[in-house]
Amino acid sequence: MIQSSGTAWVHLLRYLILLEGRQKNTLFQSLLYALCTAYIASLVFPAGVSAQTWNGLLWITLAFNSITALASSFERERSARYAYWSVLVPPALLYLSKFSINALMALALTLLNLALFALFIGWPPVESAGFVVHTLIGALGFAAVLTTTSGLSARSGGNWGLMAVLSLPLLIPGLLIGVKGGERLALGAPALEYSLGSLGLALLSSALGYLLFPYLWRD
Amino acid sequence: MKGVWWKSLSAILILYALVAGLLLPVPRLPILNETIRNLYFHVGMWFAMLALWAGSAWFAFRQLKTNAPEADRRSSAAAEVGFAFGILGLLTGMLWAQFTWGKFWVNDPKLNGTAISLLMYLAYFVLRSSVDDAHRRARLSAVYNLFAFVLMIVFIQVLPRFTDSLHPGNGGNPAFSQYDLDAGMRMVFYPAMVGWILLGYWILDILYRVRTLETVADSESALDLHSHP
Repeated sequence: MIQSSGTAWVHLLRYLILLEGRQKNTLFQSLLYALCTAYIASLVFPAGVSAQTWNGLLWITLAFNSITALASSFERERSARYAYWSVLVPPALLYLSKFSINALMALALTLLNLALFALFIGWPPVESAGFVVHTLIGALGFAAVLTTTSGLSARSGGNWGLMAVLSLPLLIPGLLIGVKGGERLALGAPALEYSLGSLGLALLSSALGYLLFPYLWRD
Repeated sequence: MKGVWWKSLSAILILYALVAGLLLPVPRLPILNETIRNLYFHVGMWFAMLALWAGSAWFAFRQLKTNAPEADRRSSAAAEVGFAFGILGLLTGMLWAQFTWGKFWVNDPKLNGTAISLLMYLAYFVLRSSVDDAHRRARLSAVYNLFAFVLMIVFIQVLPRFTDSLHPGNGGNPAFSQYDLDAGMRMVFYPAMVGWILLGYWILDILYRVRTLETVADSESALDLHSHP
């Protein structure tokens, strides 16, 4: 059983990645959004920014980029294909594969944002490796929350606005721990407990999503 | 009146908290001075709020398990009453903050926790109002309710450990917790908390019954439309 659901998960994930690759609009939209926000941030602060401001700016950008990128993760299932999905795939498995692809997307977006920030605004972090890892963990937490809220907003027939309203309050805990840990790392102080706190929050959010998703998915 | 004993108990305890809370002697602490009496009222709002939201999460869980419309009505009514207590807690806290910290709002982990919880429940109300189908509304809002409640509890328990709070008893501030909450204050504090929680449950009970009557009235008027086209 575990063997077969493991294989099913791999198949689903491959299918979702293939779909993303064929319909590049979501991917493209997220790339463009990240590029625009990083560029705007550099225009707003032409003289450069302090490490704290840089860190804060990065996390706010990451939060909004993730919401925009993952808001449409259940867009396809709004159509008749939803009926097909719900018969074919157990909801928990669908959640796992959607969370996986969203996590991949969030990680890629985060790396892209870090690169764009380094290019346009500069790279103040002292503990570079630690900072990157810490930020990636934070992005994982964002993906965990956003997979559930995106499912909720798709099932309620809401638009991007509803998605943002549902997500932002739930993102604040991860955002605050992320910002505080990131600031310490940017200034060269250790922040292991913050990274672990972020990781714990990501695990908790994904476990909750996994348990609750079947209820929101079936009618 | 149904449940007359606990309703009277609630009224008596709150009356006691009002009278004893304002008249009985309290410890003289720097900065806090007489504002320490706010403990009986401000903290009571939080206790009632958390109790109601815990109840709301419990009925959200029941809703997912049983699909009963009653569970959804109880869950949403508890979220609303809890929200009202949250606003009162915020206002009593802001008033207190003005006289002890000199500002109505400061950047403090406990204040952030409150603001975020209130935002979560506002989002919950927005979600409820944006779904027309009652069955689906019940289900989706129950999922959001449970998700938000667990994250909120973790957040208000965990995040304050990462930073010092200005609140009495945290980060070396003068406190009424532990050794400072003397026997006299306990005599008022605990009954007051029970009183506020019971009052919250009382209001919830009334709101739930109003909602139930509204639902019945709605379905009867729908029947009327069918019988007299």
